[in-house]
Amino acid sequence: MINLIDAVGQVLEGRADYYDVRVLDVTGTVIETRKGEVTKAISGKESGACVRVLSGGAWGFATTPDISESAISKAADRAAKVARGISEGIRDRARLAPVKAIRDEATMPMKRSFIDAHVEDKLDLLTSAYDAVKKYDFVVNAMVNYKDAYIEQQFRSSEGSSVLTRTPRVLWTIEIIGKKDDRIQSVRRRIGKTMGLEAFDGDKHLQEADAAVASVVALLNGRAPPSGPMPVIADPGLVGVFAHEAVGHASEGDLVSTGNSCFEGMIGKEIGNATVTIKDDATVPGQFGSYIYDDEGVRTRPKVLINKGILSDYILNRESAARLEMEPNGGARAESYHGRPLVRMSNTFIESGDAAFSEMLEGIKSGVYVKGSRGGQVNTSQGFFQFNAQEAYLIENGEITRPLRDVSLSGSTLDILKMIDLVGKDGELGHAGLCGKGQWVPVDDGGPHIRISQCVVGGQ
Amino acid sequence: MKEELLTLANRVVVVAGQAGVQCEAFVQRRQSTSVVIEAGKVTFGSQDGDLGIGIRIINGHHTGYAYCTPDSIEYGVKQALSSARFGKPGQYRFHDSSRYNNTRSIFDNRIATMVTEDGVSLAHDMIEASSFDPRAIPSRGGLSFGTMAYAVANTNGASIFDEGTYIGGHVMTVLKDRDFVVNGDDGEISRVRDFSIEDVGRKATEKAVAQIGQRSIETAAMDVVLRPDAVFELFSSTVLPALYGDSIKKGESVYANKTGKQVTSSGLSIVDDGTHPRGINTFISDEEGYPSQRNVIVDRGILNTVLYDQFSAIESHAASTGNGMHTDRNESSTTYRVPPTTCARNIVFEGETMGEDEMIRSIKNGIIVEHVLGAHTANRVSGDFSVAIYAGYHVRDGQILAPLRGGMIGGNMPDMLLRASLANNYKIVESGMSSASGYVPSVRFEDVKVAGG
Repeated sequence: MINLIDAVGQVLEGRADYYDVRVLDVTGTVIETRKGEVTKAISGKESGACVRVLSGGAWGFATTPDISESAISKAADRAAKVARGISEGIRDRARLAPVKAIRDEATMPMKRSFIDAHVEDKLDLLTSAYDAVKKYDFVVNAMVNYKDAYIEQQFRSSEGSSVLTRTPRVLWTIEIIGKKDDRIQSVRRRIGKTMGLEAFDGDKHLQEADAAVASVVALLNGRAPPSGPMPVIADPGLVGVFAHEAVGHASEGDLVSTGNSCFEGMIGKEIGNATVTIKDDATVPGQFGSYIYDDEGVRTRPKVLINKGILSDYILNRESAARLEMEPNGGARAESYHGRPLVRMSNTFIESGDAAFSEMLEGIKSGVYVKGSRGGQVNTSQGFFQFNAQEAYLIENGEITRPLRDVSLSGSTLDILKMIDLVGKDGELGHAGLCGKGQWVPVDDGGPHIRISQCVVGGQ
Repeated sequence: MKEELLTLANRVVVVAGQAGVQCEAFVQRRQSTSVVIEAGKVTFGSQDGDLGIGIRIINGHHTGYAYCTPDSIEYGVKQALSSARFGKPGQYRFHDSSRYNNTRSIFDNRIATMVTEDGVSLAHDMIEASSFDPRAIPSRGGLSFGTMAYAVANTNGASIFDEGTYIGGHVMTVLKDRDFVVNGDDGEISRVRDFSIEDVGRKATEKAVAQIGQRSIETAAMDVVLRPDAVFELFSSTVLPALYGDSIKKGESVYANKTGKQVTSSGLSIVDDGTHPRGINTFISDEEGYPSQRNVIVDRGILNTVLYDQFSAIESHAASTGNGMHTDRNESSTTYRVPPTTCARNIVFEGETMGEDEMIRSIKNGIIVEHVLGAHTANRVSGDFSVAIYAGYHVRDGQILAPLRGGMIGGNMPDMLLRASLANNYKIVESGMSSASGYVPSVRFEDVKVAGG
């Protein structure tokens, strides 16, 4: 790596105000099953590198699947040429907020290594889950998938930073398809962690399989939901999606600093009910969105995005930190060597409050209780979102009555933050997902139960 | 390029043959240049490339898959053999079809020879065109262009190469004033340089201006016109997976046992055309090397056929329809890192059409929807969905009354297709969540549930 950075330095001599190189080596396994039979089993190992060059206030970026010194030097040359092409006629020059050069090595722990494990052990996580659900006659199909990846990344910058990170990640997914009469419904549940096979200790995957079956039963018996604005109680799974979609994306510094966020210019302002505190924290050990150093070699720190209703922080990379005149906080992440680091979330959650679930139900004449999520999407500049509940129930006169199906919620972020009138005293992280923003990165979210006094509910 | 890729593919087949197994090799090379627009400026450029090999083998009745680099073919074959130990047994065989017609991919040398500076220049044109209103900022967007090439070889003699070009541009304009913030989005993608990048920028800002004065709408059932981007996003998240033979065999499709029955309005035919002259996925073959063809899935309302890759066809005692693609869920491009499965190529809605203006004039109470948020959260098994409206308009007595503030639409897409009619404003569209692309117009659906904002 020392030779490499010297070689890149020679190629970029006098052509770059700043550059960094990431060299990645990824070893992974993918196993997919349907009805207990293996439909896909892939072992792969790949490596690649990327060079990012800042020159004349413009960025150039180039990649290569070949990690030889000559190939990376050629990529550096291409990146410099691209930067030069962009910089001609540029009016607003990109800058980087300063950080101290770091030399470090950080390895995320893996108690039970999946690298040393037999494929049969991994396969057992899938077949045992299928065995647990196949006995139900309404289950017409079950797909159980497993992925692991061990990512070794060397980061070097022209400022002298040198960070070696080793990150193990596992993702287990079950999707059950149930059928009753003419109705077909599907439910998906995941376990995603930044650790080894200890993620499944205590047969956690079997617990998730059981929970998925219960959700399918509810959906198969669910009726179409009511539509329009009404009170909503959301469980930790859906609260996590709210924290991620509605608040997290709007807090991304690149969106804020380019006029794409409804949170622009609102630091220090009251934007939510005083009961609401929302964090993005990559330092929580072992969660799917956890990491130590971001992909700009900056050590990450917890970000309190909303503190008791006051907007307090954004998620930042070095460029957006410079634009917003803030300190970088380690929020730059790239999916692979094919992509530049973008401002991304990690583990995003609402902090627990003090309300009991029974208190939330009180006073609701007609509303919905939504559980889990199939995901969501947000328009950050106008500040409105959609997310879809995995499971839902009608609330009538303060009681949960019958199951509903295919319920979605939509609303304005700034309105909803003020309409969260109760925050539960429970709370959990552990809702793993993949967030897309042109590149996919692993994230986690969660929180306690919350009550929203009014939110638009839509359904089929 | 052709020789290099074909040589690699055939070498894999030879190495696998020496190991005593049948083999199909997919060699893929992609090269792309991207230019990024942020806050009204060109800020970032990148050149990305990839070259890799997907190896699928049949060992006895078992199949296995692995991927590797050109330098590690022996390792890749070994890994594929190893993974075959776990594969479920079947009567698998690679195809031996070489009935390639005259279809070739679409290759525009003007794109293949473009350099970064060309992209920067086009991006500046797009920015300028979108800046006609001083309140508007083309806040996010960019251009991407490049080449896609592949070679496939198999034990049964298939040996095929093709390459094509693409270019795409999109921009989102944010228009801010003291009392409001609105957006406008526009984008185009094509295999040749046949669209005006200035039009993309101008239309984005025009759409943002058209959103000024947003008003909420009442909750009711009404006619909904989904413009091409919205209709294809919802269609590909709901109906499309149900039209794959594998879904039908597994009992996951609402179209099981519906062949020969009415599944859409009689004015609508749904075609998947791997030979479409403008298609994003038009190549000489699919990614198993099977000849590309035109498949009429729904013929004037009647379900005619469903789509198959080679192995799903064998499992269903059918023939491949040329739809074997190395596609992964939630990925918009194919990749050698995953084995081929069924994926639509270029979906085309055909049938009786009318001008969109005429369509709107005939609506008593309804809405027009440009884009939706959350199509990927639809229930892809049942076809139920409930999504937020992103840029819509209220129509009353044939006139556009006002842009919509918030609101949602929900329904069951298979049911809605029974009450669908087509406009004639066709556009090449991508779903973003799968490799399938489309060539579709605005579609009017009757009696759809709309939840007010």
